[in-house]
Amino acid sequence: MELAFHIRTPDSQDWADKFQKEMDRLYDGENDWAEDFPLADRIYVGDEFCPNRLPSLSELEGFCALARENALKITLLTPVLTDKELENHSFLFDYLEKWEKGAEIVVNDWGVLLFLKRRNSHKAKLCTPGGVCLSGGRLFNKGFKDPRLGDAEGLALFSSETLGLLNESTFDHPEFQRAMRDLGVSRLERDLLPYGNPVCRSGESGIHPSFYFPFGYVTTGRVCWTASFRQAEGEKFFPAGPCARVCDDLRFELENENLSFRVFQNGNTIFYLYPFSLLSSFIKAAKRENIRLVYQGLN
Amino acid sequence: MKIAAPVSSLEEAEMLIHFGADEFYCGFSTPEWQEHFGGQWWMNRRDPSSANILSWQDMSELMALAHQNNIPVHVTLNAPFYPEGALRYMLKLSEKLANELGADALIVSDFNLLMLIRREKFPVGIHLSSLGACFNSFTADFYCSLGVKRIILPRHLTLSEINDLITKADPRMEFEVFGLNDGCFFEEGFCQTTHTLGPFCLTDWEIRASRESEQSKMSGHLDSVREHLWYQNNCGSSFQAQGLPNGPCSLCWFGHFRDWGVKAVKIVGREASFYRKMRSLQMVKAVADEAGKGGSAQEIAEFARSLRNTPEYCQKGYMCYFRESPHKLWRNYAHET
Repeated sequence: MELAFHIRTPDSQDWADKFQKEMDRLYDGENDWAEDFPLADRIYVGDEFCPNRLPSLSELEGFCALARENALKITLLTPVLTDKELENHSFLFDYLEKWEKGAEIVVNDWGVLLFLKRRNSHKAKLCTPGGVCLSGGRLFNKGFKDPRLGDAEGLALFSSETLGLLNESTFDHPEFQRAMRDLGVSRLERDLLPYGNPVCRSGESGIHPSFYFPFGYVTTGRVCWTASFRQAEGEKFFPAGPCARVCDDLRFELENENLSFRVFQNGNTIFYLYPFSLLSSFIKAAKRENIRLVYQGLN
Repeated sequence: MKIAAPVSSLEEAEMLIHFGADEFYCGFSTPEWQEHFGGQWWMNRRDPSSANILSWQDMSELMALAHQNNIPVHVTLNAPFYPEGALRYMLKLSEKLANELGADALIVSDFNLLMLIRREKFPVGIHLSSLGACFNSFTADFYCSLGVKRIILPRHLTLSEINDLITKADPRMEFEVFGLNDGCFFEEGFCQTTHTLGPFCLTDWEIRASRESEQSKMSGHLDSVREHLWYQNNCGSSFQAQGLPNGPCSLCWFGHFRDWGVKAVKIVGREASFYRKMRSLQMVKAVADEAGKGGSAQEIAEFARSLRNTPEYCQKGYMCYFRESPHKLWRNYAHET
């Protein structure tokens, strides 16, 4: 098993401590999965939901320096980008393509993927030693994740098709895997489906899986609830509107009697917390497989 | 610019033809789907009973009526994803819609379904649903390479981003934009909730901030959120004094859409009442016709706002699709007028 931490600032040195504390807080100290837990060998930086959370050049340099000092590999998360946003952030790709160690870019937008493929069309494969590897992000992977479903068991028993609804997602289909391989993608990023029985298998069809924990994402958008929190009337709720990065130090827990899971808002995105039993059994199974776990907490 | 109108019955089709719809789009929820998937999971994200054609017979008659009047019919197959069992069924359904009923286009969002339909080479156009989340010209080009004929752009682009995207994309691609009704707080292309359980964004949350000091501001913020959602939800499904529907729109931008070569504007609301569909079409048609006369973009905007006749709602800005940030276009326009 491989372990990665998603970190937000290049001066982070205490991620292991933070990880332990947050997991203890979220799961009331239950941690039977923690035995023989590996050390991290990779950091994830950037963000797959919001362009305002992408690093500046100096921040990316800082992340790379941090990775180098700690002998870690680096993965850049990227969100959906408009033409202008893509133009404004192409320096991130320039930098990573020149960086000495094989960096990885998680792409969540077909356009970004095509953009990267076009600029690297001279290379037979993107993921070569010393080159940049591409991974398909979670926004590509559609599945049933509504945290309000009360009777999942009843739905699962209704028919084989509804059982499939709870257990399958876009990434499972050979058609999708083929398209990804054709575009030079060698990895796919996943959540655990909240009502499914997760299958822990590595590298099917030549594409490796990464699984995020302890949260899966429910929904997101360019109109940001959190950014609007400290904005004046008349300045709220614009798509990709002005942003003071309120999310750097403020998160929310959303409560409602119809929820089957704990639900949190981080930035422009809503997440569900995996139940302890789901997380624990999955991590135990993951230790036996060559898969990557990505810790993405609230901080 | 064509007007794409939602239809869910033959009676509505006759009315929409009478009032000048150029294209129909409709949902389809078949008895076979109900049998295999039950009522808890909708075939195309909208309630079968109010928003969909429910039988092959009705669908066949709708196609015939529309085609007699030279109106193309686009069928919405836009669940965000279909598991394997559902994909097999949707492919058979697509074949029948294309080969036997003569559907003009299938509106698709699931990538796997799109690829399967493409491979089969059915005689039908493929339109990318707004759930396909096309936010840049590269994505448009990617889908163009897959044989997609038209892209319905998402709600959460700004006006200048739409201009940028259309200008840079492969000129063979057609674009359709939202014209009227039904906002969405989240980006529906990335929303993994189901309308079967009610709109997720309208959940009445109790919210706890991670910083105690911010909790006191929560109540005021939630009031703002609720107000925004009220506008997005068609101003509480209300109508203005002359009976035209309130709710999100891009009517002010029709002059720009015309100039940029947008192929169609979409009236949202497959599940809307007969009356709302009729009045929506009348309003959109009036503004589209005005744009067709060749006036300036600003003249079209002024016409649209005078037709809506709800200056207090328009001024708020929450009713606008494709809003620019406060320092950009909308404020400038409001100031000028």
